[in-house]
Amino acid sequence: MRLTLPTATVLEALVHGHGYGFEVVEVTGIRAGTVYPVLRRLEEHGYVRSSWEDPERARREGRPSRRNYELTSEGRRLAVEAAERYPGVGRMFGPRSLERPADA
Amino acid sequence: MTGARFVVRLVSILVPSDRRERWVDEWVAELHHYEVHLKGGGRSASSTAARVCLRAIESVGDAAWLRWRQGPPGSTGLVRHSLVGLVRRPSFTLSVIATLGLGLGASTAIFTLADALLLRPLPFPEPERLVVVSDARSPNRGVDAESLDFWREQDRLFLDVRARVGTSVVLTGAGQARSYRAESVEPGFLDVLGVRPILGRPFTADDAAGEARVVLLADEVWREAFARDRDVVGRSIELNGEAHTVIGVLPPGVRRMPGGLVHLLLPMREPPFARLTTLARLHPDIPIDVAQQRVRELWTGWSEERGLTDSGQVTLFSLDRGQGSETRNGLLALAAAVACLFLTACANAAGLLLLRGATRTPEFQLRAAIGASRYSLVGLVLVESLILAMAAGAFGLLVAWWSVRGLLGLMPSTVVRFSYNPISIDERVFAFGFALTVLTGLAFGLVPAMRAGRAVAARAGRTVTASGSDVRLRAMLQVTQVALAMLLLVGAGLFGRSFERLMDDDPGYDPASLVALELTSLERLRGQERTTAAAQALDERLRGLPGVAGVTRSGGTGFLFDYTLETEERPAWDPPTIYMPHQYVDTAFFNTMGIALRAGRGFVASDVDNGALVIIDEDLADALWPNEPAVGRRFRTRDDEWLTVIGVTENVKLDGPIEPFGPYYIFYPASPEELRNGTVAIRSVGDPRDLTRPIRATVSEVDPDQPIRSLLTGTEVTRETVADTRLLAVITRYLAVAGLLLAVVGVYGFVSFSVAQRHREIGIRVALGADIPRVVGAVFRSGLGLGMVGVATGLVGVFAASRFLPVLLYETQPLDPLVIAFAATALLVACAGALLGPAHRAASADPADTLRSE
Repeated sequence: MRLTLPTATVLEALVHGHGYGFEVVEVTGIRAGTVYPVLRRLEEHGYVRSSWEDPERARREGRPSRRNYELTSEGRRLAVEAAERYPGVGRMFGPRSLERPADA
Repeated sequence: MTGARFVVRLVSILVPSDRRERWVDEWVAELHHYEVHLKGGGRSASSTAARVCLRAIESVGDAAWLRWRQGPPGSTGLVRHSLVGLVRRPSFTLSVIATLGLGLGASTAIFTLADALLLRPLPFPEPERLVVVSDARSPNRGVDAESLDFWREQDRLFLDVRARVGTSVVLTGAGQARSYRAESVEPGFLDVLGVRPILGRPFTADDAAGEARVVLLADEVWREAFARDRDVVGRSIELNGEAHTVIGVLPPGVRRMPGGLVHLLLPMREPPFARLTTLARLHPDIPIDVAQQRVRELWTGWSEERGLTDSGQVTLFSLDRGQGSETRNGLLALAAAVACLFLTACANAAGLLLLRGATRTPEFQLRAAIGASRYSLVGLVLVESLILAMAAGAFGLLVAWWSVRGLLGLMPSTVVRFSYNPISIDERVFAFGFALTVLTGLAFGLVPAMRAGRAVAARAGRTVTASGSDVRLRAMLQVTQVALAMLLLVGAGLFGRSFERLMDDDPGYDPASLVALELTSLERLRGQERTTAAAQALDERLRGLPGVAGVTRSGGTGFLFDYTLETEERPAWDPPTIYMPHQYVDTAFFNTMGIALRAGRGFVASDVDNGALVIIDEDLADALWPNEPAVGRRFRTRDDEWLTVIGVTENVKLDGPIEPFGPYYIFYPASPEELRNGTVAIRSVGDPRDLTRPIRATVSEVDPDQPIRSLLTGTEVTRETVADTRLLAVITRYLAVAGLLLAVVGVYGFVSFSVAQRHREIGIRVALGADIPRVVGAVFRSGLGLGMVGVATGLVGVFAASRFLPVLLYETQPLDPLVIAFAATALLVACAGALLGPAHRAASADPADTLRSE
């Protein structure tokens, strides 16, 4: 899979714990029409896995339920490679977190 | 979010069915989050809805990707089939895309302008509560400085009242000197507007009193002269040769203040004039009409208390947009014209889609026969229509972008520069037009698909004729197109004639061979003496340029405002016009400008010191001394000195054919010193455009730091004065041509399709002995019949619209019979032209062919 700049940016956003599609759109400033296909491609290649939140919880909070994306170990390796290839991308987000923070 | 949700659902048709539901859920979550985010940012509901809709349209990319990943299409193969279908019929595909795209683009462009200039609220909080307290005659007259505190004390009426004065400054020390428009304002002025600097701080009372000079930059200057440098705050810049410290930058929305375009704000130190213009914010509990009444009462009381007679009336003016009613009406007329074109485009595309639907009935029936479900047939048309609408939308966006740029070039520069709101393509307008485009595509694409879905596949493969209701619907669409084209043609004809009359109007001078040069005055930097010397040196050099027949200077047109005139023979008389321009000119003026003297003589150098000698134009001479010679007579404005007329010129219209300042002109003689900052007019032997380059070069040779404010040919100056009419004339001409083409294409499509459908019938008729002329006659009858019904319907529209047109026309009747006759003839001839092809095909119908194909 080609490691394009949008892909690298999306990976970096995931590394920093932005797990929802709309979060990735928001923090990267990349268009939604680009972010979602990138996420789907990453998932297809096994770099990312996704899960749906409990619909009951979404209902309680009066909003649609969300899909959460998370890097697999392959994905983390790819993210390291991406950060090396595009050093500027890392600076967008500041220091990296090694672990994904628990879902708030 | 209903609209956006609808878009996502529509787009989801592209997504493979096993993933569709989850895909929709994810996008709905995305849109929900975005909507919450936008609402948190304080956007209005309509702007939020439009943005969320645009975000929803982005889902197309995602859906298309998924569809593509799915590999070769499955049972439906909607997208591929649709694309193949569209590519195989390039003329149909391109016609629909071009038609809808042009309509959408043109409408978006015009509504963008109308929205920025007329509809969008001013970019200040609660702009309806901003008022100008002023002498009742004009908001620019303001109030006298002494009464300012009195108004400020009325705290039950106003939250605050602050004064402002427009001025211009020269920025030096950063490359070439640049002239900027500045407002000198009292501290607290920005609070009245409700604006805070995005960088730095607003003015305080200390800024107006202290030693240090400070300045606030408008966004435009920050961008142009300081490249958006955030460290500009605290920097020292040189204005009119004095150091000023930048203390802040205004937000980008604030490009204009009540007094006009603004580049810089300076604190008002002490009132520079006896009269000051004001800006006040009304108390939120006071309705404006109540405030109006209170202001009058308060003023009368205050004047009486102070024993003032002749203090005039004071009133409140709401903060208007600074656009004249001509621009307003003009833009509204354009909006109507462009709406006509958009409807024509939609009707045309609808006709094309119906036609295509009708030709595809056999295909649908065949598909139904081999097991395609109704859903898949409808889906096929839906996807096809969506693809067409998307392509048309993309093309339309390009057209809109290009048109807005073109339109800005055609608009009077004052209108564009004085717009409170920046003019850029408005996403709400585009989203609306786009939605309409998609709906047209879907609605008219679906009719035949639904019918096909229902159809029993009994007669698959046989040629079928379209149903009667289908034909009626298409005939109606056709009539609508012709009627709208008629409206557009008449509009274009009227505005075109009006513009022609304006340009043909004799201005009393010869603009075609003139160039007008205005320089930014550097007098505050250089002093009077150096400025005079530079002006004289420049004039001398200009006179020496090859191709120059004469150079003259005239001084900034002053006005007599609301004046009274009297002659020795007749007592005081109030002319019907409230302005009278008076111009200071040198001795070469009349010769160089090509203004003929009807009586008396021109100015000579000694006239300057000779006291009150003037030259007036014929209009004024006739008004003062009807049917009598004016030379040697005297007149004056109330209590002023007597002026002796030494010459009378032909009627001049120096401020354009519309004569915004009335028909009367007075010319005073002036010395070169007095005219050092005047406008330079250069008469050319050949094409004046050839002179602009050498003139620029000469200006910078004489003084490399001298900025040129404007350099225009006389024709360009005249055009600028009639820019409103020109804008209407040029745009409606394009719209009318587009409307005519669309109508003709529509008629052609309609008739040629019905000829194709009736091919068999015509063939049989010919076989049975019908003669060719009769067959051809039938084709023309059906086509021209449609055209005539359309023209007649259009005429009704023209009559209805004629009530609103007179304000926009110059010496042209709204029901000009020539224009109407021309429009009707042009339409019918064009329709007849469009019928030649189908008539030829009908005439060459071969009965043998028909029988073979059966």
